[in-house]
Formats: sequence, C-alpha cells, structure tokens
Amino acid sequence: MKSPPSSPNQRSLLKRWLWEPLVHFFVLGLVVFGLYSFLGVNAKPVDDPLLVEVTSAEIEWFRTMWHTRMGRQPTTEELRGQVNQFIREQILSREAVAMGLDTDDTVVRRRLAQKMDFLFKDLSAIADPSESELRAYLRGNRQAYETPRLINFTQIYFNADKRGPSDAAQAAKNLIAWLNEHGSNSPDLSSLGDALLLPARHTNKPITKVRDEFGERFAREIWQLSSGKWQGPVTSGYGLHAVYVQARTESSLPAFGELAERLKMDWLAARERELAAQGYLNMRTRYQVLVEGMPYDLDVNQ
Amino acid sequence: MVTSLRLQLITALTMTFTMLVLLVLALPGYAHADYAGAVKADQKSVKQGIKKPSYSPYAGRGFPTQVYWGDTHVHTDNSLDARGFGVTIGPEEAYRFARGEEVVTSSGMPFKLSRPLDWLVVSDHSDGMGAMKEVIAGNPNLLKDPQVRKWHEAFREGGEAAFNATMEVINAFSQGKVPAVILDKTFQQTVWDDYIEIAERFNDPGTFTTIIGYEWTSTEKGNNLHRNVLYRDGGERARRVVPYTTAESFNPEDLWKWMRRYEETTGGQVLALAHNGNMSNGIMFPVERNPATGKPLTKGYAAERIRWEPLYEVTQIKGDGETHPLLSSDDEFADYETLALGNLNLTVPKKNSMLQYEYAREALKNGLKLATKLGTNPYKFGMVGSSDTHTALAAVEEDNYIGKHAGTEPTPDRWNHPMAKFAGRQYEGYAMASSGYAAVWATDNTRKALFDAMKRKEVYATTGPRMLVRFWGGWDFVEADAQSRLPAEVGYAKGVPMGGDLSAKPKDVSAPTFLVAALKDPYGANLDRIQIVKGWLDNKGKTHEKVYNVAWGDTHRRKRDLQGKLTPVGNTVNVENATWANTIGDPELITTWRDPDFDPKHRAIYYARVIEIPTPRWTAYDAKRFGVQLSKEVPMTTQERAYTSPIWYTPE
Repeated sequence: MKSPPSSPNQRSLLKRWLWEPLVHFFVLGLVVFGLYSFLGVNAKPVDDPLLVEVTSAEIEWFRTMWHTRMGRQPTTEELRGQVNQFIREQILSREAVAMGLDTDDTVVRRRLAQKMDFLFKDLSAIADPSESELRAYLRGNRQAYETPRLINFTQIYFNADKRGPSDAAQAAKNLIAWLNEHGSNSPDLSSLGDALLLPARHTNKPITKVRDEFGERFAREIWQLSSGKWQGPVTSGYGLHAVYVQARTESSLPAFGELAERLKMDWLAARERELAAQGYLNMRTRYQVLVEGMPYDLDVNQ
Repeated sequence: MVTSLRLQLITALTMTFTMLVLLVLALPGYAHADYAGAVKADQKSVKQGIKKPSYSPYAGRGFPTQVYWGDTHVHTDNSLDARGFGVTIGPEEAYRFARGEEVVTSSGMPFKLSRPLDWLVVSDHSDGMGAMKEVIAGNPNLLKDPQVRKWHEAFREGGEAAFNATMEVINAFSQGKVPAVILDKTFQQTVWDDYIEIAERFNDPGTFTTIIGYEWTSTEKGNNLHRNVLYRDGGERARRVVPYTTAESFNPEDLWKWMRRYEETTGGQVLALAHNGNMSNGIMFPVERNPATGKPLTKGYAAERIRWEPLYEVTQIKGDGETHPLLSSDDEFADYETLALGNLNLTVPKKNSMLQYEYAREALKNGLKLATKLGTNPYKFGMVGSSDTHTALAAVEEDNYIGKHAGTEPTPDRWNHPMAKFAGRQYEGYAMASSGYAAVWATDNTRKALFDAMKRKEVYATTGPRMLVRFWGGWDFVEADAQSRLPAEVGYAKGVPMGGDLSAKPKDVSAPTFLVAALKDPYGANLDRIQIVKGWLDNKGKTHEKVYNVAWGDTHRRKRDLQGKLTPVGNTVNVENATWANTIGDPELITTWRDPDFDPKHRAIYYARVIEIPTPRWTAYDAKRFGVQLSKEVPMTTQERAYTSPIWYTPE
C-alpha cells in the first residue's frame, strides 16, 4: 500500500520551518560563524614563537624615534633598515630565551636592568623642553653656565729658595713700598725681583688657570686683593710675589639665546637621570627588601 | 619700412652708445680701492703697511707661549681588554674626568684630578672595539661561537676565572685567533660613530680639546708593536674611514698604508706613535732587518716610518722606555721604572741582545746610523708620556694613581696583584709606574694647533708632574741669555726649539750652544737638576752617548767633579707618612750650555732630561692610606723626570 503523502499539516510544518525567519537567522548565523572560523578573521592571535609581527604601531614608533633623532622623516630605505633591525632583535632575543640565556645569569640580569635604564632614556628624549623649562633650569644651575672669573694682574717674583724665606719677604715688602710711593703700575720689570719662567703680566686670565699655574693659595689670595696698588708678598708654589691687580671681572651669565643649545642638551641629560631615579623609586616602594634578615632601605636615594 | 629701418638703426646706435657710456663710467670703478689689483704699490704705502715692532713685548708673537697638558693613551669600556678587566665607564666619563670633573670609577670610588688636563685622546683598541661589552652582555649572536661562549661563562664566574679569560682574549688577538663574529665590520662602524659623537660633544676649542684617536694593537706572538693613531681632524672626516685593526695586519707598514689611504680619501691628517718597546722583545726599533719580512731595512721603510711616526710614547704605566741600565751603564739615572722581563704576555722571556732595539735613547742614536746608511733617519722622533690606563681615567699623579686597569684600582692589595703572568714569570703589580703625561708647546688649545705642534715635535714627556720645560739649540747662546726675563724671546730668536734641527754650523763657531730652562710643578716637588743627553755617530759608524749635568739646585752645597758627576741633592721623603719637603732643590733652573766634546763631522742628537728631588712613590701612598706593610723589594720613593724632544745636528 503506498504511504499516504504527508499530510497538509505536516508539509506546511516543514514549509513553515523553512520559511521561518528565526530559522533563517540561525542558519545565517551558522554560515557566518563558519565562514569566520574558516577564514581566520577575528581569530584570537596564537602565541606562535616562530611568528614575528611588525604592525603599523611598530612602524609608527620607528618613524617617531627617527624624527626625534634626525629631525625629519625617514626615507623608505631607512625605514626598511629600522624594520629589519627590529626583526633581527626579535629573533635573536627569542633564540636567546630558547637557549636559556635568561635564566639565573648575572650578566643578563644586569643587561635587563640596563634595559630599564635605556627605557628611561628613550622616554626622556621624547619631549623637547619648552623655553620656560629651560629658563627655569638655567636659574637653578646658574653656576655651571657663568663665565669664569677673570683677573688682570702683574707679578714680581722673589725666589725664597735662593734668598731665604725672610729675606725674600723683606725684599718683596721693600719693593712694594717703593713702587707704591713712586706711583707706577707698569714699571720696567726686567730689573726687579727674580727671574721666573712665567710671564709678569697676565691679562684676562681665568682664576682657575691662575690656580693651575701658580697654586691654589696664590689664586685665592690675589682675588681678594684690592686693585690699583702693589700688595703682598703673596705665596705661590714657587715662592713669593709682589702683585698688582689691574682689574677683576666677576662671573657673568651669558644671554639666554647664546646658551639655549647647551641648556637643551644638559636639560635632557638631567631629565633622563631624574626619570631613571623616579622610575626606580616608584618600583622600589612596591618591594620589601631584607638584608641578612633585616629590613633595608639604604639603597633608596631620598 | 624705411621708418622701421631708421628706427632699428637708431635703437642699435642708442644701445651701443649706452654700452659705451656705461663702459666708460665703469672704468674709474676699477681704480676704486675695492679692486686691489689696480692699486699702485708706492714706496710710502708699502713702508706704512709693514708692521713696526710694537711697544708691547707681547704683541706680534708667533711662537707658543703656553704648554698644554694631556694624555694620548686612555682606554675605556670600548676596549676589549679594558672591559674584560672590569671597566664599566666610557669615553664620556674619560673626558669629564680629564677636564676636571669628579667621576665615579668602575669600582665605585669618586676620583678627581688635582688640576684639569687641557686635552685628551681616548684611544680604545680598534680590534673588536665595543665587542667585549657585547660578549659580557651575552650578545646571543656572539655567543653562538663556542669559544666566545666559554669566555662569557668565565666572565660570569668572575674572580680568577674572569682574569684568566681576559688574558686569553688578549692572547687570542695577539695570535690572530679571534672568532670571526667579533670582527664584523658593520658592528665596528656603529661603535666608531658612537665614539666620534661623544668626542665631538666634548670638544671645546680653547678650553678642552678632544683629539680623536684609537690604538692599533699589534701583538703578534705576544710581541708589542702597538701604535696609537691621532687625528688632526674632526668627526666629519674621521668617521669616513673605519680604523685599521690587527685582524687585517700585524705589520706597522700596513698601518702606514692605511694612514696614507685615510689622508688621500679625506684630505685630513693623522699621525701614529708607538709605545712599550720594552715589551716588543727586540723588534720596536730594528736596525739591520725588517722584522716583518726578514729582509734588510730599506730606504722606503725609513722614509715611511718617520713620515707617519713623528713621536714616541717614551714613558707610561708599563715601564719607562728612555733607556736601560745595561745600555747606559754610565748613567746613574738609567734604571728608572725599568720593566724588562719579556714580551707583553710574558710568553717569551727577555734576552739582553734584544735591549738595543727597545729603548728610545738607543733608537735615537741608531737613527743617526741609519740616516747615513739609508739616507733617511727613521727614528727622528719627539717624545711624550702617557698613561695607557684601562680605567678610562687619566690619573697618574703619584698621590692620585688610579691603576693600570679596573682590577687594580686602589685597594690594599693591588700592589701584590700581578699585571700579567705566564710560565712562572710575572709583571708585578707594584712594578707598574704611575706615569705619564704629554706636554705640548702649541699656539692654541685646538685640534689643529696641538696636532701641528706634535708634528713638529715641540713636545716633551713627563712621568706625571707638570714641570714647565724649555729647550732651544743654536750657535750663539751666551750666559746672559739665561738671565733674560723673556727666555722664549731669546730662545726662538737665536735658536730652534725642542724637536728642531740645528742649522748649518757657521764657520767661526766651534760648537753648538743650548738654552734650557725648567720650572717645577707648582703643586709638586723642587728640581734636582737639568741634564743634557747627547748621542752621536763617530767616523767608524759607531754610536756613543754621554749625559751632562748642566744645571742643578742648591749650588751652594753641590759641586760637579772632574768626571762631570754631581753631589746628590739629598732626600726629604718620609716613607711612613708618604710626605716630603721642598727644603732641598730649586723651584726653577735655567742655563746655557756649550757642547765641550763637539766634532762637526759627527751627526748628533741632544735632549734635556729634568729630574725632581725624591718624592714618595704611589706604593708609599697606598701603604700609608690602607695601613698595609709592603714587601721589602717594593720601591717606595721615586725621582720624577721630564724628557724633551731632541734637537738634531747634521753635518753639511
């Protein structure tokens, strides 16, 4: 006996299912999901150690760093060089880890710490200082940028070794008195005092150079002398001197414009040190350190 | 038509006329003062143009009036061996220290010079420059090589193993057995660029000069033929050619070829200076045969040698190289910081037959011989001192001695730590000298001026102290010249300075005369004496030498006997307290001297040697400061000295 055809109810149920929008949605969903899995789009990235990925983020970083260093955008060739270098570093460092070079290695440890320092350095190089920052830096570090103290003086030497210390001192005093009485500040020196391989007259000499050539004490003392008359005897590394100070020039601060370039370099170096110190401090506060079982905090520079 | 023709004619005539007018107008312009070519030279204006000597004695001087102090030989963490020995500071710290700043050493000590230096050469080894840093840091590319891996592990271990590994690395270089990975050229260029950037940053003409340089460290079979190469130029030229390494050749002749190539490529200038003849085992100053080829020395060799090597580093930490007591048996001061045990790594011990080819004085004399034989004197060099410290810091004052390398920075037992050892021989730690510095009579503190002064050899060496020394040779210096208030005026006017050549002997003069002067280091000790060392070549082709005492301190109590020997100056050193007193000697010595044994037919050289009164040696300062007792054989006092560049006499 032939089976009876599906009842109209049955047929229409199937049809209803087939035409049911919800079913369509489910089917479409399955199709889309299947397609996505198949094509790997939106797939969660697998941690493949043999895959090195250079993304647009990295490339943007190379551009930024290049611009900061060179003041211009890199050429295609240069950018490719940066990318190649990055890839090489990725591969080498992974190989190193694979070889176990990072485990319990004094040197690797040191190197990693150094890397953090480099990180601070890189960070500090990103932002150029503003003019007000540079001016503030200059105010706080005046001394390093001041011109040296300069002095104009004439000296007459008395060889205490040859004459004897007291005789030399007396001869010096006598000459000083005589010169001041006769009112001369540039006498013919060729017959006065004793010969010395250093010149009598010094013009616009930085006081530090005077210290290097005559000694610490001599430099310190002549700076204190009043100008316009012969004084002394002043002691140097060689003996005694009668000294006439013509003029003194105090340190001065050059114009900001002249110093700008140098200030920027020094500011960046200081900022790097600051960042490194602060960065370490921030990390350090999270750690508990014991030395020989006792709490230790002498490694922290306050 | 006719009109246009006429028009054209008129236009043409007008234009021609205008041009002519303009031309005529322009002519007087040629006679305008701006156009110098047309100014007529008349007697009056010429006479007015020539400078009259100024009233001021200081105006119009062209000669150097100031001496500039520096070190041509400092190694930093860029140097393979220095890094291996533990230095962790680089060129930047080296420059900061030299210019007077306080710096923290590799072992954590704050260090500072008594006074700044005026210039510095950071001369790291070109071989594997920067590579050691990478080996220690564990650069995986380098560690692929099993030999490098072994070294890396030894450094990790530290202590004795690290020390031995460092010696192994040095030996590997000297035997040419360096793993290829370390010698990669692109790696080298990066390091060189970095180095130059730092040098440029710290160069401050007029105040502090950074001279670009490197060391070419030829140590074939352990025999020292090292040379430092110094550049006249800045980074722009220097960076164009990567330094020469011994991976390419051990033969100095090849270095000279590189130097020629550098000059031709860049238009710049370089010079080289060798050091440590005492560790060359007889090959530093060859006389008969070229050690590289075994063949007799040629004229070409002599010409090239002196062309490229106008100076020699005569004194440094690894020994004083002026002379040896066996070569100069009559010289009571010849045995000074003598280190003559063998070659650099002591693989081959010293034989006395080697000595004559190792020391400066003998070489200067032999140079006269070769001048006759080959037509050119290959050893016509000036002399400087330098440190060769591997700590990055040029600190070689006796009371401020940093040490040869980071492993011998001041510690209570550094005197007892050998510098090198092999097969039962060793270079004792205490035998290292705290020496030396280079003094340059330059017209200015700039790269160009300093280099030019070195090229003309107006330089002198000291073993650490900063005495001021002047030396001139001429035919008519008289006693009164020593009383001159401006000896430099007299010196340059009547003679040639150190490094120079005496002119042709005038007919009516029987001997050369010299004006020599020395002023003590203002921070240091008085002077004992000035000597003039003479070397000459006789008619039979044999060389001779004689040391003359020409000026001395405390003349009231010291006499020169008939043999020329002088009463000793005395000794105020208190070894226990590491002190001395300037109650003996003189602060300044100056004299003129005439050669009493002159023969106009003999080639001769003359140089001045200035000797201080005795002072404590660095070992005495160590003993005092660390409160330790050193073995009896350790020297505790020293008589520091200066050696000027020679003046040469050549017969007509």
